[in-house]
Amino acid sequence: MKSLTDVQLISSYLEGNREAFNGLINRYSQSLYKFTYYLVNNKEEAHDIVQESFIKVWKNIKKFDQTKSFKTWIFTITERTAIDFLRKRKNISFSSMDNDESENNFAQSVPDKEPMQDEIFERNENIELVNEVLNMIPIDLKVIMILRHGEEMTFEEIAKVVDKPVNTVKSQYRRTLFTLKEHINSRMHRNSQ
Amino acid sequence: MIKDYNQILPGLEQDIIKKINKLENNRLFVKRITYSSVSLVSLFGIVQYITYIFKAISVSGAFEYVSLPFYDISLITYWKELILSIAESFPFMEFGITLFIAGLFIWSIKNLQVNLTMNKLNI
Repeated sequence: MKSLTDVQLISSYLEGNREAFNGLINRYSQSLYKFTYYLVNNKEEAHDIVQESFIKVWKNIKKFDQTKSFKTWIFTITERTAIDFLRKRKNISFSSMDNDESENNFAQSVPDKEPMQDEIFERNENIELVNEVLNMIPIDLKVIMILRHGEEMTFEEIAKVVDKPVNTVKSQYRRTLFTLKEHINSRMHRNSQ
Repeated sequence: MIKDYNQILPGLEQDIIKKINKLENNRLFVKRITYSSVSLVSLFGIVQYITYIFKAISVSGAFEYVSLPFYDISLITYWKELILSIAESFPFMEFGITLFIAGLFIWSIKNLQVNLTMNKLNI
């Protein structure tokens, strides 16, 4: 199963091999769980969201366009399921950052500088701090950061998942990264004093 | 950052597989019941309609028209009128309905067979 591609597993499942779907679960459940956990900050809720997302995938597997990427499709479904879940929980933060024209003031208030080094995400000692700061940013920006650094997706893939133009994603990513770095640096500076 | 994250909840995969297997078994069970019911009802319908067709043919006199040339061979010369009379008395609509029900029966039996040959049902 491990040597088969996503499309081969889907075709095999549609031909009646029920085990093939388990191969997809095996391949994606852990990364989806990590992604969801970072969005909702709760293990049990992340578990339920991933389970619900796989059920949605299973119900719609016949509709999946096999010329497209399964990975971006499943992440899109999971992202939407998680956002619906947060809406129900009523503590979603992106709406408060959006103005009447649905523009995000958080991202726009930060200067759009040159692409920055993202070494802050690679250093183990920053994990707790990064997580803390990540929880302060709006959900739509958080999704971009997690997909970029957790899943190492390309900007094109992220754009498909969040259904935004690639340039918007790149720009939001740069601005958020800059802000995160500023926050982290100021906190580290404060802690060292 | 996230690469180092290791607080994965145990049993996640198994829970998803169990849940989907359960849903899949339910779906297979419902399909099985539906196809079985359709095949039984259509089989009953075929028997009923075939009986009805025979009755309709005998009441309409189509058998008499068919047997006429055997009594008097000279009636063959009026073959056009004979065929028209048979056609008029033949219950085409009932025959069409019977064919439709027979098609439904074959379709449901075929699907039931496919359903039964799929992975074993674990309810």
